[in-house]
Amino acid sequence: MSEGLPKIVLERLRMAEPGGHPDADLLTAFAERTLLPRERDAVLQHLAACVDCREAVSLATPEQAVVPPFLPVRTNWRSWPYLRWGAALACVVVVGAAVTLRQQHAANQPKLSSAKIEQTAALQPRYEQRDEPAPAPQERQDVGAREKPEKDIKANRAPRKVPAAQAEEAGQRQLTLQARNYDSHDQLAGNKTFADSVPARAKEQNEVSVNGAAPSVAEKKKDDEQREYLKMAPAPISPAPMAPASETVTVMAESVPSQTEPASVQKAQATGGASTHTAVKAPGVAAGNLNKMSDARTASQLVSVEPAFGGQWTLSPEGLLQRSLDSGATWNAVAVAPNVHLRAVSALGNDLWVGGAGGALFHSSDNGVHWTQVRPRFEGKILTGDIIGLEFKDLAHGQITTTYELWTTSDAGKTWLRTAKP
Amino acid sequence: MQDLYTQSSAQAFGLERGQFSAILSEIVQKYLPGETSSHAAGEFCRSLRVEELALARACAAGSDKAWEVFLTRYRAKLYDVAGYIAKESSAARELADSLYADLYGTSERDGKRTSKLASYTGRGSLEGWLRTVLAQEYVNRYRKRKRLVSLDEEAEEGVQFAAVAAEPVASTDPRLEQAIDQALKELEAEDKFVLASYFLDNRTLAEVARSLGVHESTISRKVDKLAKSLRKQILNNLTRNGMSRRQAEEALLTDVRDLQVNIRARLVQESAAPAFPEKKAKASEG
Repeated sequence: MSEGLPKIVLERLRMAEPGGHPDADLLTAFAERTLLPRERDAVLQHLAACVDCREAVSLATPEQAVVPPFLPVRTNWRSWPYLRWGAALACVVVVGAAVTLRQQHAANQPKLSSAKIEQTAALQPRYEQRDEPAPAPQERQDVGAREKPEKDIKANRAPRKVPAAQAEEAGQRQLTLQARNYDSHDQLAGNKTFADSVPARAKEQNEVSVNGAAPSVAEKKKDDEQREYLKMAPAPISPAPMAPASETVTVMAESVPSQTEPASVQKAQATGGASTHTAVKAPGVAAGNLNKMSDARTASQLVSVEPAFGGQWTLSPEGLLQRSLDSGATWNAVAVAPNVHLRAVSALGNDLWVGGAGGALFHSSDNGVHWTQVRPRFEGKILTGDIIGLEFKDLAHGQITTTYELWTTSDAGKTWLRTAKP
Repeated sequence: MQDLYTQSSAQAFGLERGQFSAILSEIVQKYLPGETSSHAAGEFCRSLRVEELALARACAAGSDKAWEVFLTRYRAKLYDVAGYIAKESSAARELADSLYADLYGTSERDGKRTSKLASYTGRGSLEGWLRTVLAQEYVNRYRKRKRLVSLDEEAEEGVQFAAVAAEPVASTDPRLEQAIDQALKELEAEDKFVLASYFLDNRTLAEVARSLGVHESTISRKVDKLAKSLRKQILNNLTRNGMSRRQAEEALLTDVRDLQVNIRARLVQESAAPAFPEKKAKASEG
């Protein structure tokens, strides 16, 4: 505890001039914390200098009216930290993926002429072939046979010869597929146009063709890694422009009463064989193919769904009910009733009880959205004392503590039993 | 105004709308002098406990119905509060009865009975106001009683009523007083209240916390922090006034009033020889 103050300091403190005494109304309002800030300062200034008024305030304050730092709130909040961190992590992943892909996209976005696009289209079949994740055994042998000569520098330098007509046809088909796919994704993401997206892809392919060589193992590996990364990335934000034509992004529906679940991204291989499906489990989104959804939402919107219930509850010094949804970092006032100075609160899930001066007792069964005033009565006597404590063990059994009485209920506040305080 | 009048149930106690408006105007004038904004005045009026205000003022005006309601609501409470304050039943009863007399208005001014309830303004609850008035009355009585001690009582009780011996006046360096006054002046009002309550009134942390509506641990931390920062500030002020750091510390810490040397206990401790030292030594060896 404190090391104390030298006596001379205490003597100087005692010698302060108190001035005129505040009236009983102001002292009462001070004790009940209903003074305006400037009035409170003035009263405190006087109290610091006036031993008699300090004595009166101390005597006039009920002994049990102690405000705990955080009132006990028994809500199902065990999972809240996990949900909160999960949501934050999901946000970070989504934003990080979006930023990374955007940067890559911006870097690969030079303005190409239509000739280059055509040139790219001519080379498209090779990529189309590579997009197939599960080639047939015969094709694997072909690939193996292709890879062997690549070790040879000369063979590696030699361009692959593709029949021009076949390449053009395949390129057109691929572009059409991409166009459809990008178009639908553009509706979703709303930030990249097809015209922006195609040159990026074309440039990537163009770089390969300019070298005039088949892609090396390292390049292929890099390309595969990038594709894998795209598959892993949360779908709704940005993989749409970069995704191959065979990929579809599906948003799985969850009929969740608990909207606080963080969006989780799952990667699932489709049973269809060649195509890859990336599934995003997110609360509050209807099932369906994201490509076909007209009311597209971004992933960040999906994970930032605010919880509709819960929070921590406390009372302000002014007697107002306050709720925090961020573990006490910020508190927002919740309106209960006008001109009521609250002194006690009890929360059990969505079931809230608040009480205050003059027997004011309010109950909310929907987490503070709607309030009902309850007037406890026992043998004709109504509760009128100041409620200074509220405790509900469950939804039915609760106890009200006033300055001099205890009121208990065992049927959720329908009937009450009054007893004198021991 | 109309909704406040309706909300207050003043009509049920026989208060006319005009009377009620006059009461509100008087309260606004008292607490918001010079306030011209009707919005601010309206907000202030809405913060008042108008129902209890109407009841109190109707009682002061002599409404039987209001008195009936008042006694039903507050009679038992008043005696309970008096018991809590006075800690003794007869004194509590006397205190409560005395307040009842004041509330009813036994004193007359200009030929009119004046009730203490006429001074209630609805800033706090009526029950809280009654508690405060009782507490003030109790403190006043205690002070009077402390000053007026009969010779018989003093003779019977001996030293209990003897005047407290004044502490020796120590000559203090004016620079020290100045430094302390300056440091105290810079404190917030609430901090000074906490220091005065804790160190001068010897209140417990819980009592101080209750007065301010915060938790005991908050006051505990605050007292520690304040004591340290006040010392530091005083030392800084002293060094600014020309003292060296060492001189400042000595001036603050070696005040003669802080010397608490129990000479008697010290002498007893030093002169008392251990009893039977030989036996003790043998016992410890065995």
